[in-house]
Amino acid sequence: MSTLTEYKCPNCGGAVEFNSTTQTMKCPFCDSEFSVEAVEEASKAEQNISDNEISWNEPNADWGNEQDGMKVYYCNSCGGEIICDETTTATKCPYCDNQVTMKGAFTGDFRPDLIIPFKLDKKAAKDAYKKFVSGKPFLPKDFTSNNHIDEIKGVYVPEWLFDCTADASAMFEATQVRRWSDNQYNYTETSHYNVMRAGSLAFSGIPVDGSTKMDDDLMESIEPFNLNDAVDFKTAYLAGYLSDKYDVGIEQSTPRANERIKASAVDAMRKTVQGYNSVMEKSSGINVYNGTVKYALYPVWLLNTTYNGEKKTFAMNGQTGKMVGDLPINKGKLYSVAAAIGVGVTAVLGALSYFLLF
Amino acid sequence: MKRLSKILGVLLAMTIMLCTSTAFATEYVFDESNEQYITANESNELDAVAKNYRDKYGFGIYYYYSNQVNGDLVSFCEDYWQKYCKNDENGILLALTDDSYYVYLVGDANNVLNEDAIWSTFSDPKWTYYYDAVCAYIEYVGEAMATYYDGNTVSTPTDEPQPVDSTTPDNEDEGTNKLIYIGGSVLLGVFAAFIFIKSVKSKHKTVNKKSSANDYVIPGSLNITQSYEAFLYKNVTKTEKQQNNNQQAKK
Repeated sequence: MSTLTEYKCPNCGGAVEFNSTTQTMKCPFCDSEFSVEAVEEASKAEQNISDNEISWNEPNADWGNEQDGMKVYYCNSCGGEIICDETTTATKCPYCDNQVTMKGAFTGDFRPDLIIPFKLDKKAAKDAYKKFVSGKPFLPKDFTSNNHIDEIKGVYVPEWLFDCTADASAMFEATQVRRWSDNQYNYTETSHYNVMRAGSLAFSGIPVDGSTKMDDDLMESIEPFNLNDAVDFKTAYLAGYLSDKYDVGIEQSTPRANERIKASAVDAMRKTVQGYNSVMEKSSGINVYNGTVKYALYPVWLLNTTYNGEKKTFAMNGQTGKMVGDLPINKGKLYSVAAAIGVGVTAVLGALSYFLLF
Repeated sequence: MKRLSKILGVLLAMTIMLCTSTAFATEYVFDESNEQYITANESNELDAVAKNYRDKYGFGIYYYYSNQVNGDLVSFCEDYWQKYCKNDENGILLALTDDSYYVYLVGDANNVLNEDAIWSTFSDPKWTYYYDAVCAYIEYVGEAMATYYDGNTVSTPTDEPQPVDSTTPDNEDEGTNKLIYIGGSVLLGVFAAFIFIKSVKSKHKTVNKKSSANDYVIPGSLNITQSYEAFLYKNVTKTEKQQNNNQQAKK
């Protein structure tokens, strides 16, 4: 039995892809468009036939034992060997470029509850990148002029979404300051208070990266994602994109979610403390309950480039278009301009001081 | 760049405010009348003479003219002294408007000076220009106070105003002030360069860990169940105001 799924055009047999613009499955060969459900139905029917025809294409399970964490699949279209790691759930055949999805990767615990389909296509990612690097005069010239994006790939990143209610309590030290004067003295009175707040706060869909391949900070930097666009998971949405299944479990992800929940809960309590000149947190605690965790796939465009032998990765939120990534700096230019500014400010202020005071 | 411009703008504004307030505070002769009876050059020359007395005896001789002031002239003089002459425990302010004048004496001035004599000196009909009158006022007061403090006269009063020696200000003080302002300008320049570098670097680094989950709070879900605020203690600090204990005003 084949372990790969290719969504083929019911019209011409070409590999169809999910189109982020029309939110349908589109054939790049004959331009036919189909609903996700129609393609899935057609694919099931196709696979029933395929199973019988190409049963010799079974992956060699034993072969994988020699390569820890790797799996070998055979393309249903061309028979080419696809080697990928065991967390890969959707990729391309390196020989015929057909989009393939690993069947079985989304069964049982590995099946995502939700998926946010891509809203923005590769062109939008390229445009966003161009805009992102433009208007930055301190980018090294050879980065902008010789910059070629090595790779652009749309990836569905596995995320754990935490819903919960948090009971939080926090103690703050607050001060009020009063000033007045008489004929001889200026007075400052500082009154110190202990302020306590306790209450509850509900959260929905706090994401924590479930993939070790994806940089956590990069994923958090392109937040937020809008869960209103999330739909029930269907493997057809993966067609045309890469995808991984999670390799960081719920237990490993929970501390990060708790950390963010606590920070927000205390911040919410802090905002209710008003009428003081200063408020400082002394202690705080949270109790999380009604917690549920969902498994979701989030759309991300990853753009890789190499600069001075160093790989640089930029990420774009495939739903909102938010682009992030650390850009190199032309330090010589930066420090020269900074020095010029320093000298200019010194000269202007010096001249002002001279003319006004002497 | 917008952020940087704002920071530089604030720095510039702060420096201008600092410079102008300092300049105003050290001005002894100030003519705010529409007619500008005393020119800027004349004002500088008279300032130099007044500064000479102040540096030597710690006694401030001030002159102020405005076409009119808000409120009565007595209150105005008190405010003016507090704001612009507050370093002087001994001194005199001759304040004029178009229809009144006031001689405001502070500290030792009350023991030495007579406001009628001062006004007579100032308003002598032989002075053709305000410059001459103010010059005579400063020299009259200066001589009287010099005699009071050390028994020596600083200059000999004559019927005609003496040429003003504008080279008399204490060169050492001026040199020190220059160094302070040059040093301050350099520091502000370095600070501006530092802010610029930080601003550019932050624009190039956009990958940052999120510190909270504020984007995922369900709107309206915050429910405060307990709240109290307890007073602990209070501190009162007092700092002495710089002012003149013996100030009296006479007209």
